[in-house]
Formats: sequence, C-alpha cells, structure tokens
Amino acid sequence: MSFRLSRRAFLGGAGAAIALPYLEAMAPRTMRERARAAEDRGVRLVWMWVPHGIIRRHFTPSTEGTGYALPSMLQPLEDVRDHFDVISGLHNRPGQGRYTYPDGTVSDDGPGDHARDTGTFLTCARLRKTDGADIRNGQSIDQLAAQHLREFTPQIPNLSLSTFGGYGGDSGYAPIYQANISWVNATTPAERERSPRAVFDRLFAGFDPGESALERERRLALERSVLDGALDDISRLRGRLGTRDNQKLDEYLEGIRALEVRLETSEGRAACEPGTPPPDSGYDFPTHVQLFFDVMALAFQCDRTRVVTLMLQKQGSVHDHLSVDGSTITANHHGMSHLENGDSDIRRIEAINHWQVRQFGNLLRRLQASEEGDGSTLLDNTLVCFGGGLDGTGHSSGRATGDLTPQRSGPVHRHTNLPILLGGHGRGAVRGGRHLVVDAPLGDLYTSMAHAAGVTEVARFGLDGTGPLSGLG
Amino acid sequence: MARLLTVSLVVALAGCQGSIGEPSDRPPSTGNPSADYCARLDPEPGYVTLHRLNRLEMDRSFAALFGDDVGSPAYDALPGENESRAGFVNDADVLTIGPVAVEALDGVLATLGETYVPREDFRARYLGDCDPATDGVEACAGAFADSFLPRAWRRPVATTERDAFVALVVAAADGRSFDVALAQGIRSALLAPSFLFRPETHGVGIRELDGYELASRLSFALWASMPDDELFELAEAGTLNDDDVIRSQMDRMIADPRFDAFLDEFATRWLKVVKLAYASPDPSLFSSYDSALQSAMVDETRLFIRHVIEENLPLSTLVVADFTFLNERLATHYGIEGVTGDEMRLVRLPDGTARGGLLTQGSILTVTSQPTRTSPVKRGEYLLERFLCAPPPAPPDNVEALNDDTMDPDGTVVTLRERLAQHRENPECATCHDVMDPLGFALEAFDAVGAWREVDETGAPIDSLGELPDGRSFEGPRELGAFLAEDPRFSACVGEHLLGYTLGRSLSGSDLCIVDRIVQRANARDGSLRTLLEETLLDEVFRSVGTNDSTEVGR
Repeated sequence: MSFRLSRRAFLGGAGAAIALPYLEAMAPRTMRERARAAEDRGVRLVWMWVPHGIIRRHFTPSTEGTGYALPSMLQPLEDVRDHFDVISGLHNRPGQGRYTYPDGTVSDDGPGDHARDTGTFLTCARLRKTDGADIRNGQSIDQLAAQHLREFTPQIPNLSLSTFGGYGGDSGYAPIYQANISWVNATTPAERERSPRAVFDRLFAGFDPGESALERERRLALERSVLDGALDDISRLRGRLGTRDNQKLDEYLEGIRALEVRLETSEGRAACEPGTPPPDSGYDFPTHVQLFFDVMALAFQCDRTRVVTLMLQKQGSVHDHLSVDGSTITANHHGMSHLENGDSDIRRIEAINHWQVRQFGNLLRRLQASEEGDGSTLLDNTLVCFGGGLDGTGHSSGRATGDLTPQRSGPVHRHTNLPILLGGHGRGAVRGGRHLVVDAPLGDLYTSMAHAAGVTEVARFGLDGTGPLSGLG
Repeated sequence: MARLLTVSLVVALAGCQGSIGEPSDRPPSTGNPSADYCARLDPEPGYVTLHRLNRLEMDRSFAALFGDDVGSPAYDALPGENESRAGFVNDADVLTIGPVAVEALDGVLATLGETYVPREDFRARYLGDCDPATDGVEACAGAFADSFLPRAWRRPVATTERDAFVALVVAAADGRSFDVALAQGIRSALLAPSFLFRPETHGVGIRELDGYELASRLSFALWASMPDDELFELAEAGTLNDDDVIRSQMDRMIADPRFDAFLDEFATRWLKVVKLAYASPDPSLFSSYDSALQSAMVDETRLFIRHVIEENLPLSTLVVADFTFLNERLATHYGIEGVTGDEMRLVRLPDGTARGGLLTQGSILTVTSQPTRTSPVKRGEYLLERFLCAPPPAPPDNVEALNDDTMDPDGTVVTLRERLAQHRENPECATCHDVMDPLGFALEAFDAVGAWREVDETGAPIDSLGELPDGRSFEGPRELGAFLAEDPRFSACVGEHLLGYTLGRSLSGSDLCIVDRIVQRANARDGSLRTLLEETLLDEVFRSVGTNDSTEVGR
C-alpha cells in the first residue's frame, strides 16, 4: 500500500489536504517501537531566519493578548491568526558588540552586528572575532534538539536549508559566521542545502519496494565493505595527525557513519511515497521558497526528519522580485538596512519584510493542509519560529530613522526586542492567537520549543538563558 | 580582509588613528611588519589544517583520473564552500564536511564508477592487458590497484592497502560482474580520506615535505587539481624539493591550460571580480549592461592577469598598463575603436587614454559601485582592502550617515564630492574618509558600469583629483595607479593574498613576516608578479610543515 501525491498537490499545497496515514497505521517496525516510547511527542521544529530583522511600526500589535488588531504587515496572516503568537520583548544579548557575561566579565567586540545577527540567532552564544583559523560559536538549538530526537529519524536528524550560496564577512568576523545559523558544534556549521530537488532526493531516493530480503542483505554487505574501506583509511590516518586535523577527520567520520545509518535503516523508507519530485531548476526565487516549504511538509509528513532550519536569504540579497511604487527593488537588502536614504529605504525594506511575513503564512498554510493519521494537521504538531537577530532598524542617529516610532524601532542595529512570530501548536504546547509581551532571552523561547518536542534534557539554552519561557500554553 | 558586507555602508569611518589601516587585531603596520617584530618572532612555517578538497578540486581530480569529459559532478551535488576572509574557497580552516556532502559525494562516485569502468580508454589506462575473464578477478583488481590507487591517493600505497582493495573487489565480484565490483572498489577508494583530504603529518619541529606532499601543494596551488604524471615521477625520484626543479615545474604548469584554475580561483576572487555575478546596475540607468558585457569584463581581468604572469611583467603593470584585452562589445563600451568580433584579444591602448590596468577595468569599477551611481567610498575602501591590505574599520554606530541626495531641500544641487566633504567635517568620519575618498575620486571619470563619462550624476564636470591629508595628490587613474605601485604595501598585499591562496589557509600575524621576506626576495630580483609567485612557492613556508604547537598558540 502506498500513497502518491499528485504533482499539483506537491506544488500547490493550498487547500489540498493530503491524508497520509499517521505513524502508527503504516509504521514499520522501528516506528512502532518509538511510538511505544512515551517521550516521543511527534513534534516537529522549524526555525526560519530573515536578515536585518523587521521594521516594527507596521509589525508589532498595539495591544497585548488575544483579539489584537492585526498591524498592516501581519494582515496577510488573517486566516491563520489563531495559529501563531506574536512575541515581543525577546533579546539576544550575546549578539551585541558589548556584552557582559553572567559572571560579570565584559567583552567588547565592536562592529559586526550583521555577522552576529546570523551567527548567534540559533546559538545565543558569543562569536569569537577571528579571520577564520580559530572559529568559535556555540551549538545551535536546532542541532541540539536534533541530537536528542535523532533516534526517531536516524537517517536525517535535521535539515539546514538556505536560499543562497556563499557570503562574505563583516567587520573582522570570518564569513562563515554570517553564512550560517545552524551550528553542529562550536566550530562547525551545518552544511546548508540549497536545492529543493537535492533535498527531496536525499529524503526519498534509494528505496526499492521490489527488493527481496536476500537481495537487500547482499546489497548491504557490499555497501558495508565500501564504507569499511574508507573507515580503515580514517583509522590509519588518525594517529599521524594533530588535534585540529583530527577534528576535521571526526566531521568526516560523522558523515560516513550517517551513510552507514542510512543503509542499516533503509527499510523505514517504505512508510511513505512522496510522489513527484520538485523540478531541479528553472524556477524563480519565490518558487524556490515554496518548493522548500513543500519539501519540508513532505519530510514531516513522512517522518523523515523532525527539525528544519531555513535561512530566507542573506544579508546582502537583492529582492528584485519585489517592487515599490512600480520600480523594482534593485538595491541590496543590506545596503538599505541602515536606512541611509530615509523613507525610500524604509519603504523598500518594509516591502521585503511584508513579503517575508507572507512566506511565514505560506508555510503555516502548507503545514495546515497536511493531515496526519489522527485527524490533526502538521500545523497542530509543529512549532515554527520565524524572525531575526536584529530589532529591524537602521543605523546611527541619522535623519533616516526620524519617522520611526522610537519605542518600537531602535536607532541602531540592536539585538533586543527581536521580531519573532511563533507558529503552530506543538501538540498543544502553544495556544496561538496572541500578542505576548515578555522580557526574556531568546534562548528561553528555544528551551520551550525543545520541551514541546520532548527534549526536556535542555534545562536552559544560550549564554544568558534562564529556562523555558512561561505563558506559551 | 574580505569585508564584503561593510563596503556598501562605509560612509562614516572612525578609528583610523595614525596612518590608515592599523586595526588592532593585526600585527604592527599591516603588510610591512617591522624587521624587529619579525626578528623577535622568527616565524615558523606553521601547518595547514587537514585540507579537504573543495568541489572544484574534486572535479578537476576526477577529470585527471577518469577523463576530461567528466563535467562538474561534485560542484553540482555537494554543498558550497565557506569563504575565507580574503574570499577564497580553498581555506582548510573553514572547509567543512558532513553527512550531506558525504552522501552527495557517494552518489557522485557511484555514478563515476558505473560510467567509466566499461569504457575502453579507462580500462586500457588502468587495467592494461588484464582481462578478468581469462586472468581472473584478483589479478585484474591488483593491476588496477597498482595503477589507480597511487594516483587517486597522490602517494605510494602500502601493500596492506592494496590487498584490502583487491579483497573488496574480489568479494564484491561474488555473484556480480567484474565491472560492478570494480566500480564499488573505486567508490571505496575515493570515499577514503586519502583522496578527499591532503594529509600532511606534522609533529614537533619543522619537517621538509616529502616529494608527494610537495607535488600536491604545487598542483593544488597552480591547477586546483591533483599532480600529473611528471610531478609524480619527480616525487618518486625524490628530486622535486629543489629550487631549480620547483622553478621549472612552475614554468611548465603556468604554460599549461590547467593554470586557468589559478586565474579563476585566485585572481578573480582576490579582485572580487567573481562578485560581478551579483552586481545589479540599475537597468533604467545603464541599459547597455548585460550578461555578454559582464562576461567580457570578467574575461578581460582574467586574460590581463594571465598575460602579466606569462610575460613576466612588473607588478606595477597591474595598476598602470598600456594594453588590455577586449572584444568588440567591451571595446564599444569603453569607447575604443577598431576592435571587431566576439573574441577577446590583446589590444594596445592608444596614447592619452585613461584606460590601462586593473583600476580601469569594467569588472572592478562595476563591483565597487552602487546600482545607481559610483561610490568613491566603496572604490577607496576596495583599494585599501584589496591592494594595500589596509582595510578601514567599520563605521561607528553613533555618527550621522552620509546624505547622498543630489539636491538640498532648498533645491540646491549638491555633488557627491560635496556631500562627502560635508561628511568629513565630522572629525570621527574624517580620519578614514580623508584617505578613502580621494582614492575613489581619482576614478570618478568611470561610471557605475565602468564607462567613460565627462559629467557626474548632477551634470557637473568630472573632477578626478584626489588629495591626501599629507598633501600628496593624484589626478585620474594613471596617477592613482602610479601612487599605489610605489606604496610598499601594494607588493606586500599581493604577496599576502598569494601566500594565503597557495597554502590554502588563513594567515596569522607571524605569517606576514614570511610574506615580507618573500616580497623582499622578489623585489631583489625583478619584482614581477610571476617572480613573487615563484618566491612564494620557493619559500620554506610552502615546502615545509611546522610544529603543532607554534601555530596553535599563535592563533
């Protein structure tokens, strides 16, 4: 028994509620085992990052709690307003140039807010300001959660998606910081995947339903011998190398082991047939984003992974798919983010922000359109954190920021009062429909998200984390 | 060095105390560390963190191992590299690998084996006369191992390694064809770190690289690929690590078409020309700018650098030259007559033209402009960063941004030069802009896509005079070029980029002392770009590895 999604369902998503059997009914052996495990809450986690934050005057609701009037930037979310909370007042102080550690030590790293916007968004850690030889950040929350949840999706514990390629550095920070939000550990960012097709293939390719048990065993024996060859070579090398070399070798070993895990658990792929793969080229940028949402939803639906991050463009992206007053936006996002050209920059950035918020809505709708076997939707069982590591506004005390309401938009790139939307319900962990005003470190929200997914081992997250954020349920 | 992000916003700099470009995280006097500092340091060669091949290096190695028609499978399938600060993608410290890349690589390798094993040319090359049907699987797997593995792993292969390979193929051939089994062997051999990484053992003390390690360093530096047979033969003979042999190998390798990789990976990244792909000149203002023009601009820069190296021209040629490479499209863009057709060719520039040298090439002029206008600030910062290795610090947060409106509220027309002059009235801004802006002013006669212009955005006649606070001045690109060429930081900066790229690692403070001695040796000869490259490859730092400790502490 298998289910094929039509191409239309795959590409469109809107309104097409696709009923795939829930875990239990179709689940292969390993899945049944884990369903027995009480700690599996079957919650999926998504983080969706946008650069430079969001200009707040049309984003932040003017009242707290439920029933707030949707500001113009959130109006595209009207139909899903009960399925997300606006959270104001979160801060990520480790991203500031000047930071006081909990023990009172002060560190002043000067400029580089854009590197820190990206680099610290999911780590809530301090970036070592370096040219590249001694990179140091912290492990990001998605990687930490995936590490705890990997037993449920051992083949692909998480996905790190991004819509762009390489990127340059900022003010003394190596480029690696500003190209990556997801960090496997303090020194190594996760590999970013750009192609929806390649992700799809990785999620679903390689399963042959016609293969007999004997054939499978023979194939596995061969594949194991191939990997053993590589493993032997790794052991031979290890003794001859220095510490940093061995760290690189360990990264590689992880990769080989992941291949092994995929082999040994490839049976699990039988549960779900994803249908037509996405095109591998020939689409525009907005379609690229939508294809990522489709792949994400399929990965969740087929329980191929539990944790996904998406970098929605980079600091220097050009959003020439958008226009303001009939003229295409050709300037790069970063160039405008300091609002040096006053109102014209503000309006163009707001057009970008508006578009980004709409993408959040599109993802929520895509998840809502996917039913799970128990009658719930993916949106019920997922948490989507959308936002950025800067408060959204500008540079300097310049004239440009004059017409922005001061309490909602700072005069400089600040890492406080971050623009954050929390979508989905995480199986009842988050109620939605509210504007929550808090004063808490960003890491506390992440702790709550981890707890919603059953990862209660995380007591607090980030340099200044205190524990879970209260008031979400 | 690569401060890509900040270039568009460096409108208000502070912290440029004393002479320009002495950020505190660099050793004293960037590019020109004092003799005393270097003598105290006695810089050691250091070592390169276990170096993973990047996608291009993999693909070029596949071409060498399988055939030139191999395409770019790794580039297409694996995640992209992280850039180094200088913008290179071969920096061992930030080249990572993980499950996504390994799985993608595995897929690429499986396809390569399946595709090439049945091919006659491939069999003839690695199996010779061995026929598995008559000679047996074991014999043929052995023959293959003897010819393929030392190349793929770029070193001699131990008997145990050879035996393990043969055993794998023999076992795989049980119930399968020899071709399928051999393809699995290839997959295993190329998944091994001996292919994917360039291991250089290092411990306590300085060790001269063995011939194979040096062969790899040379070939990856100049070709972004594995060594060829000649380099392997010299490595095996033990004669490669010798001044004259390295010189003659470099000459041979520069003359080889594979040297194009050096232009693509070193030159266009050092000069940020690779970023031209992301430049977005406003089509309503620059309707002539299109992909054909863009591609000609990149070719101009590549061919120009190749020519300067091939002809052993002085380093100063980079900034002052009387020739360039054009096709009709680019010549028309530049207003130069007499060039017809699509083919790029060497063109002697007419007397009295302002063109000539990198500073006047469309690629660089466009990359350093805003979409709608030129940016003397961005151009000045680019020159400080890429040509003098003295990048100004980012502007402080608490200063007024540059107002670049061309009109005041009362209707008075204000040029960019006047706006910048207003900006420099703030002493915090002036310390850096006093140096940065004049460099850019000298290039004002080239618009935001590098075309010649007589008037600026406001209709005012171009003023391309740049005056530094110390009274020195230059007018136009030729005088600016001459000014840069005379600055000792220029040769040091080119040397710094060359060393970082050829070693494939980030440079530390003590490495700049090594750059200094390399530049001195090059200048004691003819001081050409080629000589600078040669002295880099001849230096101890390129031919040895240091201890773990000295570098680890230094970073």
